Amino acid sequence: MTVGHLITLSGVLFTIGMVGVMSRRNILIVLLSVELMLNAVALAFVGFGAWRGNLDGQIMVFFAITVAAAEVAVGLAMVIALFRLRLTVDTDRVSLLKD
Amino acid sequence: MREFNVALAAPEWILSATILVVLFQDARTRWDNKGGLGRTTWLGLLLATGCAMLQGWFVDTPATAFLGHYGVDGFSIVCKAIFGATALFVMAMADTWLKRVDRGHGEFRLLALMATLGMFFVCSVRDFAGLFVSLELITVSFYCLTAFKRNDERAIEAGIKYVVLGALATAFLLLGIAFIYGATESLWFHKIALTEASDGVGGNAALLEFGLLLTVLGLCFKIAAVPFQVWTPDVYEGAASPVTAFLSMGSKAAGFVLLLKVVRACLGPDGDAGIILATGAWAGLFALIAAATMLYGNLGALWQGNMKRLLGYSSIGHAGYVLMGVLAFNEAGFAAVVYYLMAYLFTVLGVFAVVIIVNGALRSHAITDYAGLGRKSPFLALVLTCGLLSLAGVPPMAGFFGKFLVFQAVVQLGTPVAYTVAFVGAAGVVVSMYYYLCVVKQLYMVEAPEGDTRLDGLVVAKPLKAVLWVCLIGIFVLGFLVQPFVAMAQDAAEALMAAR
Amino acid sequence: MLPFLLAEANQPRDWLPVLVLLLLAVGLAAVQLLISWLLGKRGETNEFKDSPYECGIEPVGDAHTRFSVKFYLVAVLFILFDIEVVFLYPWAVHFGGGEPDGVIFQERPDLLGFLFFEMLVFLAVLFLGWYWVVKKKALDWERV
Repeated sequence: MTVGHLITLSGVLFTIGMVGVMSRRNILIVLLSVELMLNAVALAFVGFGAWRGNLDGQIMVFFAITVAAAEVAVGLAMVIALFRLRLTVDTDRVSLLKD
Repeated sequence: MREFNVALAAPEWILSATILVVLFQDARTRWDNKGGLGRTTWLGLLLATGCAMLQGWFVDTPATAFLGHYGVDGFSIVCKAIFGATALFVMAMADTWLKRVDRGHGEFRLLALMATLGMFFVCSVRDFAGLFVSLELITVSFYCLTAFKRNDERAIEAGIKYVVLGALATAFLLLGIAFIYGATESLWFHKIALTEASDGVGGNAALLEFGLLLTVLGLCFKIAAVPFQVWTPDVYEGAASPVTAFLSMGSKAAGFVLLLKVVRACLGPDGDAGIILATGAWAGLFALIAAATMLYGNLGALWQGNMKRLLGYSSIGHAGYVLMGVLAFNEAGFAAVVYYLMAYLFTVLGVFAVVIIVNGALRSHAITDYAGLGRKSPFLALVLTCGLLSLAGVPPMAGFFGKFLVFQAVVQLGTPVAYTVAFVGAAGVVVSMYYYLCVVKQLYMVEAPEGDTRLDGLVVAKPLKAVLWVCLIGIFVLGFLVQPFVAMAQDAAEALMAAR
Repeated sequence: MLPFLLAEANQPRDWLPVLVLLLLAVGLAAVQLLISWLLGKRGETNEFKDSPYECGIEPVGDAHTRFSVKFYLVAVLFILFDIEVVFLYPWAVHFGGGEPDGVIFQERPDLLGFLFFEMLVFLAVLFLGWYWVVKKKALDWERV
């Protein structure tokens, strides 16, 4: 197993997450996909760090985890607020703002 | 570089302490007794901004703290002054606006303070870890601020759109940082130039360029540029007006400050175009983004009947103009960016102050409802007119000189790409003139419908009146007394170029 | 750095432990299924056999009930405070003078006090946040 394998895996996970964000309509699934993307990047950091024999990458992973948790917590709070107002978590049915 | 030098971060310490005090106060007081929070917030913001500006005289710049991860130089001081002024103006608008909101005062002030703290850190970061964390501090605070009116479907919808797109952009930014880290073996900005110099266009260069591309795309979300611009009109419309004002100035300027830092990091040690940026492909990429952004913003604004959506599209257009300053990749361009941000501060916040006052009376953002404002409230109409003309770039106003410097910096490059993007920009200015003047026409040439008394006898609260006056004066000072401010912007750009 | 990630696991015998684990896992599951198939009385059904649980309390209502919003709120708060604690681990490793930065502390013992103070501030901020959450009655189960 080399750094190439790790980065490829990270890229595949990142792409799966990105496709999920763009194609799914359930906001909860979208948030899960976002989490997948951020964790894929965390894997890339660890991979590069191991390749370079450098600890900075692992430090970035801590920050990435924390920020991902904060973003998803805020996202989830908004989903709850939306559900209270509209009884739906479907992005297609949330479209008051448009040209 | 091995020193902590804690006292250097005094503005950030003051802001952090203010946040903690407000948090404590908010926990201790009942929901109907939040006046003390406002006083603490004002005191903290004034002290922090004053402290940041005083550092310009009393600190031997450039200085670093926290083992070199935090730096103070001429560039960071000017940017902190801009952000401090933005936060103060926004807080004055929020004071008035919060009177119409029955609860959540503590949360609003806390989130606004945290966003300001992030903006202050953005000015001083010297590595990618700091960039990421400070940027996310701003972004997450703005997610919450956007959806602040949680019983309003529009606000929640805007918030969700902002979160989803923002998280996507965050992931791109982080992946970019990961690749830059892989190429340079470190998170420092200045290691990029060193890696370029030692590796040339070898194996690491591909990693580095890919990482830079993703980082720039991630930052495009913050500055509302193509390809991450679609959230702008929706979020501007859905969010509360003071939040929109903060978003249009603070969040965008933070993105540009970081973009400047990243671009600077790619330049050579003497300020010459680095190996990567000199290839021309990067100038082309930035030109493409700038041109697409200007076209999208200015054409999209043409058919808007909602004032805040119009300002959203116009803000996309302005991101394109400022990007022209970035793509010059030299000191003149960076100085133009700083000057443009200074001019934009007074202009856009003046416009938003009027929008908040008018919306307080109208409960609507339809441009047709602004009819007759010129007769009913001449001062508000005057500020709005001056602000819009300054946005359009009409000569005696601040906005004109910002645009002038940006176009000058690009045209001086003399390359076909530069001429093309300048031409697109000029076309954008002409188009934008039309939709700004349509609003002005509505103010003066159209009478309010018979019996519509909503705009009669508008009372402007004292803090908002102060904001209106300062913005009006600022618009003209930065249009007439150009020299000292251009010198300031040039000093800032020089400090940025000298940063290590 | 992480030698097990980078070491060449090219030799087939390097994968032997994985194979053994795999065989054990599949084998155990198969044996259990086989035993229940051999010893169990197949084809015999009655009221109790068809119920979700053969003993204990009778289930009430639909299994797909919705979770109350309260759970989400508490879960969100839990995630945030849980994740913040992640910063304690690297701090503890450094503070103990662990491998990577031990040298710095030998040169500069005064940094230890600074590091300790920094963590105190971090915990104080976290604690203040928790106090705010309690005061806002976000953890008040009856009110949420």
